[in-house]
Amino acid sequence: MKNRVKEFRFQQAMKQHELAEKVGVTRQTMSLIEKGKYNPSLKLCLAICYALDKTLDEVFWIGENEDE
Amino acid sequence: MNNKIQDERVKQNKTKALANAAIIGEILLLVKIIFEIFTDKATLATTGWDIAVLIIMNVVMLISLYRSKTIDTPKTLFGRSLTTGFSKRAKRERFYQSYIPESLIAAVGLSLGSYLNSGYNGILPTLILYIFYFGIYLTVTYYWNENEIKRYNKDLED
Repeated sequence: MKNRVKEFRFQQAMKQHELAEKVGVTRQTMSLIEKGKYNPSLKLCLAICYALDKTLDEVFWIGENEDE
Repeated sequence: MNNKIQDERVKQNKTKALANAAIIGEILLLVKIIFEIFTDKATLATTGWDIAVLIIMNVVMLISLYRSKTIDTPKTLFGRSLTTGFSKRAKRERFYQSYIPESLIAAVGLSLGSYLNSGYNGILPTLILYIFYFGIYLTVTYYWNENEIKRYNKDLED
């Protein structure tokens, strides 16, 4: 799953740990999400979207040739 | 920064670690049981207890899965995922692509077990035994899996 979390977080001048705290996860988890190494649950995806004031499809999507 | 948050990834990692520990524990117990049986060291106090622990572990796992109400697609005993349709085509597909091939393989295994247990008794008795095992396995796997598919579809409807 691909995402634009990092890009939108920068737009909002938010630090990684600030976003992590806002959505109730560790900074490590947020880092893995941004790198696309951890697929968050739908609940967490929505929490991130609310925190970034974006819609789900703006932030997360599945790449064309992704197996998962 | 709070590093003590039990977020979903941390919980997932802990669950995976526990599951791995349980699998290793089960394998070690199984090896110990087999070793004790084959070396005639099996006693009710030791091997009996090991078997009880193994059964309890599996029962706990099954209850946990049942309580979590996880609905997984039905799988055969060999781990092959089955289609879940009720049409004649879907049933035929399951029958010819899953039940028949698996029954053929299972019958070979069961026949081999009989051969190791009682030796070779000639081609005809072996063939009859093979057909018998094939028939039994096919019947059991057919009714078991079709019932699982019915239950799966019912769970999805509820």
